[in-house]
Amino acid sequence: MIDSMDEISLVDLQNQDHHAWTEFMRQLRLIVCKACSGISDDFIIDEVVQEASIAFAIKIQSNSFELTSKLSTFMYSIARNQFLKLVKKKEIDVELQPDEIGAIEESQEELIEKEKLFELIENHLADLGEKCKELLTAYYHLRKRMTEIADELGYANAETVKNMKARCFKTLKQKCLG
Amino acid sequence: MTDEEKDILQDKALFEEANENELEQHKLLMNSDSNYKTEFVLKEGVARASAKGFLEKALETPVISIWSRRSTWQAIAAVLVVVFASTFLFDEFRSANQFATAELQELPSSSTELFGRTAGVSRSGDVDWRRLFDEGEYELVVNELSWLSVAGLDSLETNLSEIRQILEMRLDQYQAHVYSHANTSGQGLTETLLANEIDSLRIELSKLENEIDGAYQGEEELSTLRFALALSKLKSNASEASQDFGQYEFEWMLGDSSNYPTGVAKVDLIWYSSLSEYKAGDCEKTHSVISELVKYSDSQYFRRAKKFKRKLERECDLD
Repeated sequence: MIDSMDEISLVDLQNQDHHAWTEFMRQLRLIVCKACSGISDDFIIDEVVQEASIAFAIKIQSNSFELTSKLSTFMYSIARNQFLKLVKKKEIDVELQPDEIGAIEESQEELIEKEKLFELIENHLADLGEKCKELLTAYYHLRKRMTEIADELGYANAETVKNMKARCFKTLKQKCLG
Repeated sequence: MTDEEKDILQDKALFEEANENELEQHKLLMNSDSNYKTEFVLKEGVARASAKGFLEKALETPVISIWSRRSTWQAIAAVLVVVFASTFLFDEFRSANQFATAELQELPSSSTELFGRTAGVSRSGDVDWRRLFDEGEYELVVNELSWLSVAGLDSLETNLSEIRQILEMRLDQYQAHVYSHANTSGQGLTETLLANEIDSLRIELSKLENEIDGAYQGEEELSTLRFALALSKLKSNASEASQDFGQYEFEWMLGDSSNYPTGVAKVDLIWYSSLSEYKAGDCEKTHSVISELVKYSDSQYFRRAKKFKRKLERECDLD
């Protein structure tokens, strides 16, 4: 067990190391508790831990991702941002800094709509079939290039991947939006 | 801008690879082109859903999915097994299961605690279920009280039902006589005869009412026994094979019973009912029961019920 999130290796996290992620989640909860302005409601803490960890899991796969501060500082800012979104979405009664109130550009309605759409995507992604899911995951989450995907998933070339990606995305859109 | 150009711009914005101009253009389209915006959110959603999968793999457990609104109860059940197996994750992500488990541990563990020192259930000559209950022999209590419920409760209910039938019949007869008396008094029948008949019917009714009062008292006692039975099932893990955690008893007490168990309020029953339905794995029913409980804003369960309800909604794909 470690005392600080900063002791965790970013490479281990990128490589899905179980021990690193277990420690990360434990430390993240402590950070989230601080980022939530003293709110101790489990529901809020859980939700912010969830969203912050997902946001981080997306970010670390980006080719352009570079950690310019301590991991704990970085996670605090993500957690705070997610908390502010939640405050806006759920109209949580909490005192905020004046500059934080307008920090979230999306309206409450937009945040709620987005949440609903995210749920639909989660439900329908599996319906697309393993090939589409694999391809969309490789592209949108793991941020792999078309040529890389073609090599790894056995497509003829980048153009085939591009067409396939467009088809998969179109199907997902139809499934989610009718 | 062509669709393909829009697609590329969305991807760049999503991957945080857009330059200042591109970012400006992206923001403009997000505010002016609803289709562009929807597609962008869809892409965000794909990245998000995939990231959840990534986390599940990293954590070597589907625990991440308990955060989200799951579509099936089975998914939660699968998660709960993992949560039980992993103390860390159990502590880390407070699921409805963790919440319910903690609440189950808080349930009364002795009959004294359950019924108070004075308001006990006593059926002298019956099995010493109370001692067994205090000793935590829930399986034995369940067995013994099940026997009681067959031998005692059922016969009393049958009796009560018969009494009610007789009462209804007599009431009909009584009404008929009164009606008959009103219609025939002018036809020469002696009023004394009718008055005597009505008096005798009243006496009979009074007797039946007393009998029914007694039956109701018995029903309260049996409700209390039934409550103890249900609670012991709820606390016990012995019923796991049969998936019987007292949910049927609690439901019966809340629905058909005219008497609550001694020293037990309706909110207590609703609370226990929700825990038993949860333990039995019925997410929707648990939610339905807990939704009833949050209507009682001044009850001791109000805050806990609200919390439990929120957790369920998150986990069980319930609106």
